[in-house]
Amino acid sequence: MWPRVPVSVGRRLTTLVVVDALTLLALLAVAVLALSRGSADLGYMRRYVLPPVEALPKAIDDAARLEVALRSDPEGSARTVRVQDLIGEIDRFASQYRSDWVVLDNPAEDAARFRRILQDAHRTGLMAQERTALDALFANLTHLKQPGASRDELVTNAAAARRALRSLLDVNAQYVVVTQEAINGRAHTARDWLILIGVANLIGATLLGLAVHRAIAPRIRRVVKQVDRFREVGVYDQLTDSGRDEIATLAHAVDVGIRTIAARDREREQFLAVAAHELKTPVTAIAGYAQAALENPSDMAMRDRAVSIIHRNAGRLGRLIEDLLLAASARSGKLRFDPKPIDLASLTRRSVQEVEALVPNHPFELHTPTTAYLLADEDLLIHAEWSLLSYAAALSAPHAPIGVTVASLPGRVRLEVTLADGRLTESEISRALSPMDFVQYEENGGLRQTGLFLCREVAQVHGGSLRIGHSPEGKAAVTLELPA
Amino acid sequence: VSAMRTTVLVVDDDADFRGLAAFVVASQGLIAVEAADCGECLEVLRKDPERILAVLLDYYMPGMKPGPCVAGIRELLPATVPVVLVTAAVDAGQRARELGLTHWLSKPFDLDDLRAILRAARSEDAHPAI
Repeated sequence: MWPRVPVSVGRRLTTLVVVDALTLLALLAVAVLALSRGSADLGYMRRYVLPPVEALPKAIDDAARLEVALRSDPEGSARTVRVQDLIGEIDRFASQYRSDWVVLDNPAEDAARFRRILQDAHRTGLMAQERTALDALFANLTHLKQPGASRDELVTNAAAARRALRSLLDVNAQYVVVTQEAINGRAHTARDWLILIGVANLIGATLLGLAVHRAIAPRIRRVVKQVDRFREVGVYDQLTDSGRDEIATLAHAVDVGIRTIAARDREREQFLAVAAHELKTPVTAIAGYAQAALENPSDMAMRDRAVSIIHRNAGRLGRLIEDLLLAASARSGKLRFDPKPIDLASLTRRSVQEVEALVPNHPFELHTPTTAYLLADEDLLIHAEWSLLSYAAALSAPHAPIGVTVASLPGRVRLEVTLADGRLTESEISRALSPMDFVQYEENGGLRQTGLFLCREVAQVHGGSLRIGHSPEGKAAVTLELPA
Repeated sequence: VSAMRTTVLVVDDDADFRGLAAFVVASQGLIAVEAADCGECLEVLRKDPERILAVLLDYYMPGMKPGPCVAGIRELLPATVPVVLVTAAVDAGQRARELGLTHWLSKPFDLDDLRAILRAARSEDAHPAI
């Protein structure tokens, strides 16, 4: 589904990274929480649960020694200093236990927390056992401290106190087990959460990664395939990508690039075909007339005519080759360009004068300011003006005036040539600008040809433009505009 | 009627080529008639189609395109009269086939090739295949 949604590649990858980052944060949070809880549990255990377990064996030992001391008392008074010390030790332990470590009814925070643990573990019965044992301990201590009791009674009380202490030890041992189970349970819960989040992230990241892959990889493969096909067999097939993301932009750019290269290839082939055709035409005349003259050495009229035609076509061939080289330079962007200040008004007056001498049937109406300076390559500009004027003469009826206007405008200079005849068709305009395509016409008994392709290239190399259109009066007009 | 076919129509917008072809045609004892484009060519054919032995036709010319031009010629001339495509185009044979023509000359050519075509046309005209 994802590939059809117009989501950018960057956004898809960002989503992937954000999901991973959030998962990592969750993992860290769970780990930190588990560690802090574990640390708190260990501190709690060391502070509240373990101390009575550590103290109880000594109290039990004291109770056992008390019992032995009472049994071995020959007087039976049971009030020796040692007996009193042992009773005092046990009594201090019992008092500390009741104040610090007892769980039931203990207002201390640690006790309350432990009660919750016992509730969660369903072991609240241990608190009753502890209370019973502690009560029994205190009752027997009270009897032991009472004067006048017989030795046997004291021995019995000491034994009962020892059993109560033993029972407390058993209860506290259970407390340790419950606490350990609670800590282990939390550790397991944290571990389960870490595993769950990790697995969820693994699945989620994999699915997201696959979705991103599905959304990108096939389209990139298509682009690469098209490029390979074009490179290997030179066939251009339109590359379409209906998406609206970076891949679609890339595909479009590649398509435009390939299309441009294909168009340039076609244009080059057309250029070569036209160039070959144009070159072969004078070569045919040269070779044919040379052969005819050689085959008829005694025909002087034929020889003179052949020499004349060969001479003319050799000149035509030379101009074609020059134009061909200029066109090739223009096409490769290497047109020689040597700019210097030129007065276009003066240059145009001279060009019109020269062209007019060659085409006396075509009068030119010249309108120029006194001066119109610009920075330009003189040779190229002369070539462009000759092309323009010849083109106008070729397409104008004899004796119809051709308008030539030079205008100096802010930041630019304009040369407009208005043809005497009517409108040009799109086809004629296109042909005029085709590389090496010429309008041929006969003038003064000779064949002439002209085209505007090089004129446009000259304009472009100067940073200007060449437009073919129509004047407000509806006459065809060619406008060369160059920066001043 | 066939003995009267002595004229070769040279259709080309290049005046130098027309002159050259006319010289070769004349050297074969034939008459050359020149046309600068297809319009002129059809005009000549309409006036006197019976005398045309062959047509030498250029491919790129101003005015009518080659396809309609050949169709117009074929309407006015019998199929036995050869129409020879004479062109400086790179793929002359291919263009001739596209126009349904079986004879072509690729510019530049040896004048003997043109002479051979003219001799063949005259021979075919004198002894038409049944």
